[in-house]
Amino acid sequence: MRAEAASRPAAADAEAPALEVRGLVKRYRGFAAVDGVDLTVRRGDVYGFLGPNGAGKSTTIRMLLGLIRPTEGRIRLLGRDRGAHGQGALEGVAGFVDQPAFYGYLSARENLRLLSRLDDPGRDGPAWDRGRRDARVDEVLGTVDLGRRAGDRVGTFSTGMRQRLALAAALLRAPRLLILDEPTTGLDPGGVREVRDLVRDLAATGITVFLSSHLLSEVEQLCNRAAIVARGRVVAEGTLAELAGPEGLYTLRVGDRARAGAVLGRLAAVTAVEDPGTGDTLRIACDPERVDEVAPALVAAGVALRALVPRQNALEERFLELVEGRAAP
Amino acid sequence: MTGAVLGMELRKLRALRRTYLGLAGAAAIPVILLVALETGDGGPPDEVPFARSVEGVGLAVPLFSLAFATFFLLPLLASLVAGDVISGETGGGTLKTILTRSVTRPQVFGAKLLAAALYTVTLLVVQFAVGALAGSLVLGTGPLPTLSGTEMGFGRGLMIAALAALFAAITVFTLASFSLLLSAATLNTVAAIGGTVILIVVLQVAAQFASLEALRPYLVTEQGNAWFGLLRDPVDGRALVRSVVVDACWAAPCLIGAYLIFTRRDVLS
Repeated sequence: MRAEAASRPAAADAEAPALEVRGLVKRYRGFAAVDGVDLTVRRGDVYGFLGPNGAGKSTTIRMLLGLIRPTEGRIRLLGRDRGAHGQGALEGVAGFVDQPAFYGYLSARENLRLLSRLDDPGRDGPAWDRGRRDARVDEVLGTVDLGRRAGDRVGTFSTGMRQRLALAAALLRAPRLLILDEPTTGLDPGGVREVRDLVRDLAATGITVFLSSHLLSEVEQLCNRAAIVARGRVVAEGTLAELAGPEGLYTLRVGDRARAGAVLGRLAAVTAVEDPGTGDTLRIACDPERVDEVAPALVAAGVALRALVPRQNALEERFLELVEGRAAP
Repeated sequence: MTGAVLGMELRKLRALRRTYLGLAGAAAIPVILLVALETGDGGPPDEVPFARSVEGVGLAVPLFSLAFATFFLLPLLASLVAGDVISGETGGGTLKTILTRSVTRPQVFGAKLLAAALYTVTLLVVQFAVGALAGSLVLGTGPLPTLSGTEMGFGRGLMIAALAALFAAITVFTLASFSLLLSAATLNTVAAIGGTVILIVVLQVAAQFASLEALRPYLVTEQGNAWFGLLRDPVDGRALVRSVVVDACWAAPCLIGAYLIFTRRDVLS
């Protein structure tokens, strides 16, 4: 797959980000479904586009794929401007949006054969003859583990099989950028795992993946970077670690809150102490390498230590804060 | 690339039942008319051209069928495909699948238009072939009388009857292009076919009003018998050209409208 990608004509700018979106807006009669989205996906990223249903993820992806026209904004795919290059901007790009659809009365193999003929083999690429294209159809069907059902009508396929068929259809284009809209929605747990494994395998071959999801766990498992989107806007962006916020936040339950705060404030390893003013709970920020100094210091000062707990699910808390608008980003 | 999309459209047509329903309908028309002519006691209706000349003239059957079917039945059969080429694709969600490949929307539109046109021509060819074959077998290969009272031999008659069928395809396709427009505008196949039926009925009713007499020559539904010009001796070229111009005036806005809608509209299915 990599060799084919490399033999394709070079992009307008091989150094350009895989995907660059600036000021993207889609307005329907005054309602902004997408309201000024900026995104930068670097080559080789597995990029999560994370947000609740209705946040504008699919609308954004439809604009990336050229299915709907942006009201405002600019999109560059592999360095090519969507507006200037039209359908040509999709060269090296493949993907799907919403429920992937095929001709139910034709077999999986026949669907893919018909679609493969709609693909430009590349201006300088090998002039693919029909035989080679058809062989490639069987190859990608094998990749998504549909080889044995290739001759069956797609109308008889389960949701999971259709999802895998959509991945196969995308792979036919030997993409360098893969755009997937909620690829695991509607699948049973086994299907979810299969699709995730597949995405991971593809990413390992060097394909840049842009993947939307409403599931934080999915993005955590698959992606190295993510944008969190809510109400048509990107509310946070970065690596997963950056999104989770600073490491080394701990919650303590102590016998004497005020004394504990004073003791911890003198420790070099502790960079911040937050005292809520009531109860027996304190929150501290502490160098994770030196957190083992906290307990002895409290014990030495005669303060009872009942619990010292690293803050769990920092990313999930932040995600919920952001999408529910409970806190300013 | 348009060729690739056209190949795809034709492959889909081959797989769809309605394609064969339309073709069967086109083939059935001459057969039913032939049976009715042969078994009826009262003889053929007088007002239908060529019906009275069927004795011994097999070629009268495809022409009789043409006179019978170009006004309503054939446009309806053509609409089964023309009214579905766009809406069927959006309804099934497959339009987005196609448009995320390397083809442009104008290429896809061109292929769909060609597929609908090819299907229309196929309907006429099937009807002509079945009519000419069945008519010649049952009634014989006698000389075909022209509308000017002269006669032409079987060979020339066969060619003229075939040309008449192809010429009638122009008017049939003009009505089908209205279906294509409705298919693009409403994204609903039933509305596209139903809307075309309504247009035909309305125009035919309008043609009955004496006060609208001046409009009649410009109605698309009045072009259904323009191929009569081929059966005059000599051939009435002016009538043929005039009819093509009227058809073009109806088809052009329909096709341009369908093109603009198809190439600009947001694909939300």
